[in-house]
Amino acid sequence: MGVLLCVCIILILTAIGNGILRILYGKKQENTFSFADALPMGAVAVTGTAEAAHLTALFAGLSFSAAVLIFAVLTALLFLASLFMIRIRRFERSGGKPSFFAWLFVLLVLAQVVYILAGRGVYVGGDQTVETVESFLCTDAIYQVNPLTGTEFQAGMPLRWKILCLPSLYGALARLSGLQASAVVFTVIPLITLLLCYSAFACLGRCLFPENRQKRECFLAAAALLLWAGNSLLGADGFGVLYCGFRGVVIRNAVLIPYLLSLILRKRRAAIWSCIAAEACIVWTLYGAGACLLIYAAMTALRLAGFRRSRAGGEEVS
Amino acid sequence: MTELIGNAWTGWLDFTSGTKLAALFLAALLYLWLRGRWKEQKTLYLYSAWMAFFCMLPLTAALLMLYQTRFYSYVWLWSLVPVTAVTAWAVTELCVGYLQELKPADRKKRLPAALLLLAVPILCGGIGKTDFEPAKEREERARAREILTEVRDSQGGELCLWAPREILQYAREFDGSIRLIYGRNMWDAALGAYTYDVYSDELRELYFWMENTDGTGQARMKDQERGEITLQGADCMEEAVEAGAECILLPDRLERQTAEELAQAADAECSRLAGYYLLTRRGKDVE
Repeated sequence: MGVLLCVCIILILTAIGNGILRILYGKKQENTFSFADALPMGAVAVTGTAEAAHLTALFAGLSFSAAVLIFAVLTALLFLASLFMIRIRRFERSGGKPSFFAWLFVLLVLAQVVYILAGRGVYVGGDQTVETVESFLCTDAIYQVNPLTGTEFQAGMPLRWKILCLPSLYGALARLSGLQASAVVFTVIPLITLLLCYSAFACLGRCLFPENRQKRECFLAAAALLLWAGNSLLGADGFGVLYCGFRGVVIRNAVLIPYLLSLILRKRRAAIWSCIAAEACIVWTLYGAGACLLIYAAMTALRLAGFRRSRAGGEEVS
Repeated sequence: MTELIGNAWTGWLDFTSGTKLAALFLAALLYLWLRGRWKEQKTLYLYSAWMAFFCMLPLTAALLMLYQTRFYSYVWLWSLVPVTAVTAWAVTELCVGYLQELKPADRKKRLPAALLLLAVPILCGGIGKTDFEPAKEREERARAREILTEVRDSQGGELCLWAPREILQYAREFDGSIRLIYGRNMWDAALGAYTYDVYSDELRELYFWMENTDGTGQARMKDQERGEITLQGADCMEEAVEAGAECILLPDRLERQTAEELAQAADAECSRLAGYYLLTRRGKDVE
């Protein structure tokens, strides 16, 4: 059931992502995006619908069921609108057989999928996502009780936590699929995060090696190896993806940031700002200013500095 | 600020002591620079190099920690550095780019050389040596779920539970209708940021007693104001009942007679459950 839910979510995200890219960039620039772009962009869009539903229910004092309904309606509308926008493209088959690196990549990813499905340990230190989802489902309300104790708050909780939408999103998926909250949070979401992560790295690979398919395959295989290698270090991408892929910071590090880098290299401003907004919806940031914004600002500053230097150099030469 | 700089320094030491991924990343930057590949993506390369430098330098790291809010520790600062992406970029340039340039006579060496190069990230990591123990955590969770299922099935309706940490930490993820007299934020300080609520000294003493009681139901605790105090099991039972506990799991290390005396103090029935004493308050519906 969990795997089926994963497949459904992936298909929906792909359709929505494709539609959003078509809306943002129209027909002309469509070819600058690959199939891999659809998945992270779809995730960003669904984060937006989840945030809208979550904030509406939170500030209007609606029940959690109402939030689930709003989320389901918004996502369904987005999905239907995207279906009208999608143009089925024939994907060009680049010549030649897949290289050794492609097979290695597939093998490594399959091993990671099996590892997650096999019920590896889950790292919940400093995180209360699953308890929050359970409390939403049990009380049918958003943050009416302290998720860690199930009793009423005495002094309340910071607004900066309250506005983050991931618990509502996971709760909605649990409610709509009938799965247990722990199954959704500990298995389904980490699997989706893993696939989103590789989609983002595939986009980055296309920017780094646009003309060399073998290099792109090697890049993905190397990324998969590095995720395995980083599974022992808290804070490393590998640790996050394999042991706590449901956390906002992990989704940011493994999905949003690699995807953002690819967008910055392609200078796709609208999509960049949507990534920055998505981060503000899922991670406690400095009043909305998070890692994505800093990376974008720093890389833009470096690009401008480089441009000025090259112009100054050109003037000297001339 | 001094504290932040201190955290940045110790954080860097922690970050580099477990694995060699940071060293591998620096080697990747060096390789891309020496081979001139950095010029193909100057912005990405320069950003990665500068940000890594800022994360290593305690003063700039402390400023960046202020930016990412004090809630996140030093290790999350490295989110700003695309370690995986840049290392994978260098590995690709080395495996495909460099090896493709080998002389025709040396081409047979390409595959073994590529495999050896790909083994480097694995050797620099620490597969199977995690900051937490996944296998132990998995077993603990499975055992806690079994016990919690039995506890829930033996009690009618909702319940308020007090139990040792190894059970309590999984109770709310297992069933949101189980209430607790204190949650995981009692021992996981990072969780304190999610709420303005704080625990009373009485609840802290209950936690200490549950985790440290000896066979006779006593626990010696060091208190800053009162010095060393001895927590008595019977007093703790009364406090727990006052805090709302309806169902109490006591650890196996308590003697049978002590457990029964504590049950009396809590006005509860005592029974055995999978290596624990289960105390159910009288008057609570039992199926």
